[in-house]
Amino acid sequence: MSGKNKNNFSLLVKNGTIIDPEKKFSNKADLYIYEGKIHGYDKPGSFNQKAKNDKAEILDAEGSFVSAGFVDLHCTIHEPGAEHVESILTASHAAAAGGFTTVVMSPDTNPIIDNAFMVDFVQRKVKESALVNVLVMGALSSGCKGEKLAEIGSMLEAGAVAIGDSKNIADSYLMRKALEYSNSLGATVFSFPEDETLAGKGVMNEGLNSNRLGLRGIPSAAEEIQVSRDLILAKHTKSKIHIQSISTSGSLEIIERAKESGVLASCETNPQYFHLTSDSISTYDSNYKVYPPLRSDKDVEAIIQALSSGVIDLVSSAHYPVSKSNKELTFEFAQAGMINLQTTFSLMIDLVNKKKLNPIRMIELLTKSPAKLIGKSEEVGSLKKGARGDLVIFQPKKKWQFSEKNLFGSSKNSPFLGRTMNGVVEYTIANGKIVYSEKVGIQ
Amino acid sequence: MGRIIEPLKHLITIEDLTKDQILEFLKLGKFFKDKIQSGTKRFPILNGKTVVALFYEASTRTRGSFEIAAKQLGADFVFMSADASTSVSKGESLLDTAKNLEAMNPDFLVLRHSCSGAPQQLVNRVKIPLINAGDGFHEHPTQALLDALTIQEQFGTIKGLNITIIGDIAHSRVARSNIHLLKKMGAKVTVSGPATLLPPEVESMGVASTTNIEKAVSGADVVMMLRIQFERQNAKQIPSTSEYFRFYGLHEKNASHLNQNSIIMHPGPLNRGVEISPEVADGEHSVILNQVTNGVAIRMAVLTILSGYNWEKNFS
Repeated sequence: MSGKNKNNFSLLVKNGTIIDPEKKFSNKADLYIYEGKIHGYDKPGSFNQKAKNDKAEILDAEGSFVSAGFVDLHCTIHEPGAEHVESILTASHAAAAGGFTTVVMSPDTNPIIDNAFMVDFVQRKVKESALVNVLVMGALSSGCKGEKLAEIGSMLEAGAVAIGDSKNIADSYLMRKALEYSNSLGATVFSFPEDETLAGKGVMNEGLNSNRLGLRGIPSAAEEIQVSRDLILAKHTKSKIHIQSISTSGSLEIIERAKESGVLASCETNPQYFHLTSDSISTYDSNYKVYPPLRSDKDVEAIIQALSSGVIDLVSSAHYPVSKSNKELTFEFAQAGMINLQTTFSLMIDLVNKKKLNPIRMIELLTKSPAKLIGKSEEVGSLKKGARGDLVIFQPKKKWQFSEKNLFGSSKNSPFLGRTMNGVVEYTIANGKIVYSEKVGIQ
Repeated sequence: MGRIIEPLKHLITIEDLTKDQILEFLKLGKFFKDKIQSGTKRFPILNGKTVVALFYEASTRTRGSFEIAAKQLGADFVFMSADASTSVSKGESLLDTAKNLEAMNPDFLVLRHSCSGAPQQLVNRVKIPLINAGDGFHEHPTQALLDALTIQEQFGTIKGLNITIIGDIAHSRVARSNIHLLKKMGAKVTVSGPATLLPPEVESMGVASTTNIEKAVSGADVVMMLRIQFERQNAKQIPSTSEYFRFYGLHEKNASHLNQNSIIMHPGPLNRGVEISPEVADGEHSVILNQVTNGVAIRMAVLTILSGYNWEKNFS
């Protein structure tokens, strides 16, 4: 397995409120990690003797919440290719600061991760420098060009945990074949739906705001048409499909119907789509430029509802670092993308604090669901015995200021930079070792 | 009369102006026009000042008009262009642009940019008055002001007039600025053109819309024709220029629905035989050349007001 920690740490986390979506548990308990793996949790005091015998470290979590470390299935890291924009090291620091202990990196590096050699190479880099567990997604098409299948089998054999290009596959035949091929090998295809011909040169959501600002719009239909196509192909091929970055209420209606009819579909959204609307773009601040674009109030409300109802299966960060020189351009030419590893937790806890999301469901969206989707539910995102000793300890009501001082990634493209955020990650623990704490930072 | 209008530092959008601010531009514009027509051509208001015009997009009228306006006010005028096809217009960071310009120490900056929002992104980074001479599809405030002056000259007021704008509304900064201005001044605005060139949710800007040109022209006091901008046009939006002219152009058949004293306007440059027939463009309703004349007067008014010059006192 990847991960930096070769030493096996034992750690007793005392008096915290454990949230475990697996058992729908939310109560005060002690949790014990033995030699880097979860041993279990039980009523306070249960592991005192064992911890003493093992000479385990003890962490008092009185008044705080404890969950399995978060699992992110959608994250761009520019290593290899543009390490100055974000390296595996800096991304893993940002992940740790945001409570993520497992991150699946997208294949959109330079060169693209589209063969077993690249999977090996990245995994070696991960071993050398990552503070948390970084896994690899293999490209669906060679060079992410959408023309021919990448060596999916070899990449899976080398350790890739899912298949997808992180961008739209325009060719329906290629998508069909990718679904058939990946599914036969037990891997889920990740689809990023956007009809590029309909999106055209659009840079923001089509509607009143795009009209007012004189910016070209991307209609919701550009996403929904491709969501429909991919679900129809998944149905036709009886394959599993995961749809990334859902941003419109229409997509949710289509996905809900498909799930009801038995299509093996799952989907995710990203924090900007339940927190921001196209209204934010009024000053042409390119930090609000993302793909898919920020939509309307109606879409945001539908997405928040779908987080609870289960139409949305999981939340991932869609972390996308962009250099200053590519971001500080006119809105039209600025590169799209937002860094989200450090803010995803806060934007979700915000929903919990506003009573729009149940806390156990929130943790499920960030741990159990994503882990299950990549077939790792025994290893990560879980408090089951034997799972990696990865935890996050947090305070939902406490506030923090997101600033350049506590920014751990290499890029600054977040509209939340400078803002006060809800919910503090106090400790992030990987393999039983504290890798981040609010007071000290990265450890 | 004391100055009750909030002093303007920049002119970026019509959307952000109040009705009183618009009226001040029109009043001073009218003053300059009358003076020029009675033979005065020099107003030493900006002696020793420099106006830098930075154009990231081609322009004939707007550029020339700003140059004459600046010179008639006694200022030096420096024109700098960046070819729209170079990476500079797309890629140079606005911060770099701002720093470079400030280093030259001008007193005014006139900016035309092919990207919507460029002046908004720049405005907090420059200390000198910034004038938007057109940004992408967004706004062209001095054009709307000169159009308003032209309408006011014909009708005495803008309030209550029926004004129709015809053409590529979706990709027109002239349309956007005019819609904001005319609504603020109390006109009834209708936009018209092929459905493919009307923007989404255009009615929420407070205008009526129709794809029927005859209907749009009938009863209109003012018809503003927009240039069909092929350089920005997606070829998939109109089948051909000849079909466009037949269905959406202003030709004599459509123009026959106009009232006796209706006027026809066009921001230029004209595509004769595409959006307007030569006969109509040069006909009795046309005020297209008045617009050009008023362009100089309005830009003089804009430079004067942004300089902070107390014209009400000095010109009384």
